[in-house]
Amino acid sequence: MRRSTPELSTDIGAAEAPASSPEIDLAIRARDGDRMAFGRLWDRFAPVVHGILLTLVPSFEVQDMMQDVSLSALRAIDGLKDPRAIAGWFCTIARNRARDHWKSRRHGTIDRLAEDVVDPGPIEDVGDDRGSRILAVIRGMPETYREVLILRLVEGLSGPEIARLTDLTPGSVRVTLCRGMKILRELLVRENLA
Amino acid sequence: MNVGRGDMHDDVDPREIAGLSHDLEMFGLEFEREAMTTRQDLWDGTGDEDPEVRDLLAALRPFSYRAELSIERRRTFLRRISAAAAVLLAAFSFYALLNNLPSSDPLPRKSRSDGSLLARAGLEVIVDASDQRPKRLVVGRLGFVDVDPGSKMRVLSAEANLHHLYLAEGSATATIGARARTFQIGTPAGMAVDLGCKYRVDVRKDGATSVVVVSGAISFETAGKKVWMPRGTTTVSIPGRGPGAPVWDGEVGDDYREALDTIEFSRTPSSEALAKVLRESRPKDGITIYHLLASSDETVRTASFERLEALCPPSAEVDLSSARRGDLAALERWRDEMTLRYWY
Repeated sequence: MRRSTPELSTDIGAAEAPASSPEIDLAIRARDGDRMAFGRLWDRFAPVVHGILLTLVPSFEVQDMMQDVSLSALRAIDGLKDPRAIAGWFCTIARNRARDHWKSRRHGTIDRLAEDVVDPGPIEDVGDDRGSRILAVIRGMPETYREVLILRLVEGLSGPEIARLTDLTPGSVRVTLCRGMKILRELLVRENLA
Repeated sequence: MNVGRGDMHDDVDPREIAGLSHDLEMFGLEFEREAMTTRQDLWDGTGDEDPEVRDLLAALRPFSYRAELSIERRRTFLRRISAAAAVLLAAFSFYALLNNLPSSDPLPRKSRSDGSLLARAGLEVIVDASDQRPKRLVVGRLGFVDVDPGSKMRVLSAEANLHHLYLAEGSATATIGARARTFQIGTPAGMAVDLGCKYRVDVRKDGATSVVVVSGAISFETAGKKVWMPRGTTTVSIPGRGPGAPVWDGEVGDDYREALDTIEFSRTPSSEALAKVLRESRPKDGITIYHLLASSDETVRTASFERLEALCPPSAEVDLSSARRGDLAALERWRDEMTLRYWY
C-alpha cells in the first residue's frame, strides 16, 4: 500500500483557522444556545482539556478542574466571537484555570509564558507504578514537548486530531512528537523505565 | 540526519523522503524533514504497530480522560443507587419527623473540594465553622447557593426539571432564576420550594428553620401545611409543627410574633393574642392574616376573615362567599390581588 506524502507546511505555529469543521459547526450552535451542541462540543474537547490540565497540575486536581473548565466554557460560550477559534478558546480556558490554581495555592513557580502557559514546577503526585513514573518523566520534560506527548500517549489522540483540536499545524505536531519521543526514550532508559 | 530503525514507515518510498528532504534542506527546513520521519504509528496509529508506542499507550491509558470517564460512569451508577437510598432516607426522616420520632444525622460524610462546586446528585457540602467564607454551590444554569460556614448540605437530585437540596444544619442563601417549583431546599422542618427568587435559609441544631425571602417568592411546605412567602417576609418552622404565618422581616415586633405563635401553635388560641394581632395589623400585614384563614380553630378563621376583608377589601371578581368557605381558587384570587396592591 502506498501512502500519500505527509503534510508539509512552513507554518510551524498556530494553524490557519479552517472555514468549516464539525467543531466549528457545533461551536456556532452552542453559542446560539443549543445545549446539546455544547455537550457534543465538550465531548470532543474534553480529552484535550484533560491533557492540558494533566500537563500543568497534579493529577488528583484534574477531575475537579475539568468541571470548572466545562462550567466556565458553558457560561462563556454565548460570548464566543469567532467560532473558528474554538480550539484555542478551549485550550486557553484550560490553561487559565491551571494558572489560577497555582496562583490560588501560591505553590510552585508561576511563569507567564507564551499564550498564558504556566509552568507548575515539580510535580509531586508520583505513584509507584510504572505508568505513574513514566507520566512523571513526561511532565518533567520541557514545556514544548510534554503537552503534545501527553495528548498523544495519555489521551490517545492521533497527531491530526491534536493539530485540529489545539490549533497547531500538523507539521508542528509531527516535529514535536518526533523530537519529544527521542528525548523521552533517553529519559526512560536513564530511569530504567524503557 | 541519522534516522533510526523504525523511524520511517516501510510503505513510504525512501527515495520520495530523500528527495523531499533534500529540497527542504535546500530551503533550510530541517524542521520539516524531521517531521516527515515521525513514525506512522506514533503519528496516527496506522501502519505497523510500534511496540514502544504501544507499550507507552498501554502504561499511560489509565491516566486518560476516557479511562477516568469510564470509572466515573461506574461511580455514577453507584451514586444513583446511593441517591435513591438518600431520597428514601430523607423520606423516612421526614416521616419520622412528622411523627415526632428521632431521626439520624443525614449527613455523615465530608465534602472534599475547595472553591465553588457543581451540584450533582449525592454531593455533600460540609463547610467548617472556622472557614472564613461561604462555599458556593452552582446549580446548573439556574443560579447558585452559598452555604455558610458551619453548615451541612446535600444534593439529593440535580436533574434539569428538579434540583433538590437538603440543608441539615446551618445557613444557606439561594439565588435562583428557575421555573417555579424546579428548585427546592429541604430542611428538618419542611421544604422551601422556589418560585423564582432569592432567599436565605437558617437551620438550627434542633432543626428549627427560619426563612427570609430576599426577592421573588417561595412556598414553604410540610406535609400538613404550606405558606406562601413574597419577598421581604420571613417565617420560622419547627420540626413536627410546620411553618408559621409569614411576617414582614424587621417590620413587626417580638410581641406581635409571640402573639402570632400563640394563635397558631397553642392548644387553645388566646383571644387576647388574636385581638392583638388583628388590631395591630396593617393592610400590608394581610399576608400574615391571610395564612390564619387556614387555622383549624373556627374562631381564628372567622375573625381573621373579617379583619382581612376590612384591611384588604377584594374586588368584585373575588367570590367572597366561596373564599369564606375556604375555596382555594377564590382565596388565591384574593391573594393575587393583595400581592399587587399591598405586598409589592
